[in-house]
Amino acid sequence: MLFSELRFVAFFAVVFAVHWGLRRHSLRKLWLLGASYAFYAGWDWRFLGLIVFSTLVDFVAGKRIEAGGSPRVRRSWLIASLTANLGVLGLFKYWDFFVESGAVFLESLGLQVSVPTLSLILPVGISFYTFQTLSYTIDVYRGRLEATHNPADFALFVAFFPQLVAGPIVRATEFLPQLAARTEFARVPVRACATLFLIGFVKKACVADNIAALVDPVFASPEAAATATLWLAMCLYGVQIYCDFSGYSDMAIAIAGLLGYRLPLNFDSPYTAASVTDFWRRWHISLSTWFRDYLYVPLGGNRGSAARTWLNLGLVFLLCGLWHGASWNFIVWGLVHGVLLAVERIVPVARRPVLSLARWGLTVLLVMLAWVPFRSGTLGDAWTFLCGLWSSPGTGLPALAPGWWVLVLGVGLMHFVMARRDVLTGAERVPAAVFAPAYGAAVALTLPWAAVDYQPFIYFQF
Amino acid sequence: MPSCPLPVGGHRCSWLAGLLFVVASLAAAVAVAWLLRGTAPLDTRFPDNDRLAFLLEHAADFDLVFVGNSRIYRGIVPAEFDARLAEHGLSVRSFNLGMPGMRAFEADLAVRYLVREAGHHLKTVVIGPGDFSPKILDWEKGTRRTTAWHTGSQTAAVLGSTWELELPASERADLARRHLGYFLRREANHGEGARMLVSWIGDSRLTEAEETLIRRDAGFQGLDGLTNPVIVDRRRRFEAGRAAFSRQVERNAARRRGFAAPVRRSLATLVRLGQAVRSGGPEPVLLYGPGRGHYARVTAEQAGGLPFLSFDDPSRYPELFDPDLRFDSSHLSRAGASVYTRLLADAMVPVLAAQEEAAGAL
Repeated sequence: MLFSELRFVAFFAVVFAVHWGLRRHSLRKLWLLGASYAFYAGWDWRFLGLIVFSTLVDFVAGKRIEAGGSPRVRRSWLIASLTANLGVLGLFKYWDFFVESGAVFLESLGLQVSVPTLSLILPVGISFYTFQTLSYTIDVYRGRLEATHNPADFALFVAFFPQLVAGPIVRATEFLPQLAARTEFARVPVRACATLFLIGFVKKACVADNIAALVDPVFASPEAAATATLWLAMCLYGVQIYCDFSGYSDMAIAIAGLLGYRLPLNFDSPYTAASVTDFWRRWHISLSTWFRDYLYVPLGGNRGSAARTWLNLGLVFLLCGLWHGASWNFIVWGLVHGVLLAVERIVPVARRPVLSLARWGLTVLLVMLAWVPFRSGTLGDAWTFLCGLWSSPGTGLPALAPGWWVLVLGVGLMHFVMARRDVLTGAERVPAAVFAPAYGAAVALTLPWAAVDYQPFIYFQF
Repeated sequence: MPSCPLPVGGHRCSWLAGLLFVVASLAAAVAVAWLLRGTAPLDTRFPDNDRLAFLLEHAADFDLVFVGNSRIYRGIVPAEFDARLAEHGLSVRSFNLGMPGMRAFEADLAVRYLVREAGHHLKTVVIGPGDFSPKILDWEKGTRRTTAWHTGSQTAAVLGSTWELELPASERADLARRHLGYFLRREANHGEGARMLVSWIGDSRLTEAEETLIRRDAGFQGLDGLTNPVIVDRRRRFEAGRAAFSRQVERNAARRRGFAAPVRRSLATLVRLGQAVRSGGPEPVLLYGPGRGHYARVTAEQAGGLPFLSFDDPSRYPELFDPDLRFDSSHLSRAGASVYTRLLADAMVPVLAAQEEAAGAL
């Protein structure tokens, strides 16, 4: 059930009406928990057990860590939580990849091995909710958060359906306090949330899904595309993944907002970034800050020598790439970003404000080039694609119309406009009597441009 | 806390305000969608709208139109049909508006649209859809084409058929939900933006080359020589299973069990469509082309008094079931199409003569 589907609208209408119809706060939370489990069961009910398992493990671990007297006991419970969560994640997401990669390595040494692959289906959203629960136990261990004693609250924090399957990754420090206080419907910024949902829908259904049909054939057969088409496809993919993921995040934030909960900002006009470092402050913010707070800083961050900082960056971005998927493509993508961040620390020209336009252009170019291995089916395809950007004799695929550059530039322009105007505050100021029909008209004008064939959100696979 | 602008207080204020908000939004959405829909003609919503657009523009050039699925599209050669009728002394100019994969409810809409827009030019409409089955095949799910035929009347008809299906209630409810979803998507013009834009800027006219091609073959296109991998694969599988096809045809012919209930309902719907065509001007002819021998028997009563031609009868038309004249189990080859066209023309002679006689009597 995708946010952009009609059946989700029907599902949400029921959830919304019952939620606000219930007077007691505790009942509302239980209702949301049930709705969240039902939402996830709509994807695949078999994996509900994993969420419940993760919830139980971390709820118990959090309480034990808080109650445990000696540092050794507390550390043991933390390790138990990390092992359970990362074990499940590793089993479902990474087992086959590592086993097969190991077998390939051994075969390259002349050793014939038989590998026990599992071919498990990847549970939707497992990377997201695993990181959420991990943040809880780590924060409790660090003493930054009191363990919750309400299992229903904790279960809702883990399974809250607006962000369950593709984020944003919510910290317990941000969400659990919201569950403690009752929210009045009158305080919900309905117009702002409705506007944000529509913006997200336009990004996802009208832009990203339509672009998918253009770029998919090019990435499937880069050797058959001409150079100009490869450049355009690369940039269109940059637009697609941004609109797909940020569109989903916008909708998730809006849906949570309509239920009276705040989710963190996940994108902040990333293609306006003036450096790759700046890009990571604006792209998938909930993930980049998670890695910063729970991995980069504990590793020493940039407090040690330059070499140590580079090593930390490399390790963090290698794992960041691996988080996106069990594939060498994602590892290469992560490492490329890690190297670019390390380079920015030592190349002084990157810090000169006088070259801001060139700096921005170079940043966008590097980010776009890095999307090629991210999107390609194999590293070989990615290499063919990248080589083709300089010279490709490919004629097998029809050329993408140059007019699509207008879309790329349009989204780029909207990036700058949206970064500077508070559209949502403006929407909230519009009188409801004007907003309601205007919103209906906007929806009617939007739907014709939505792609007919639904595309799953790209980030669902992560 | 914000004060309530409505003459009610507390909790009820929120509910009433929310309800008014939703109603106002929906009303505006429906109104704008309706206005938008009025700007784009329906013919842009059909899968092969080039030929439909051509036919509507040149309706005065044709007397008879074949409408239906790919058995029509790939099986009837208008030029050969007209030539055969000419041998019988009948002057007819026919056009093939069969469309690949056209489901019966879609064909129903196409026929009604054609009759409404060009019925005054046409003398005869030959209708040959498949079953009026409400089931949605895998390749139809979520497509623009499936959405397109879910008008209000077609949705009501398909929901009626869904209700009559011999399936568990939960499955019927799920199918009904899907059909309603397609109806809502259609009403919302979901995915129609590009077509609307093309329609608004007037760039939807056919090029001269396209017109020439359509006029040359009068809408027909055989399967032989097509390079679409799906079609090539169907051909390959048929070649591998020719003997199985022949056995199946024999079995079907031997059963001669008459119509099963769903087929009877299909036939009744088809008859209603034929009557609607007649009231719009042209004379309808109902047609079941050569399939696998399922539709061997149609009584005059079942056909509602309308002319009904069934070629799905291996005992009467064994040549149409000869694997050598087949492209695959459902379609004739180009050579098979010629044979079928000639047989069809021969069968149409008394029907058309009767129509002319009736017209002359008026």
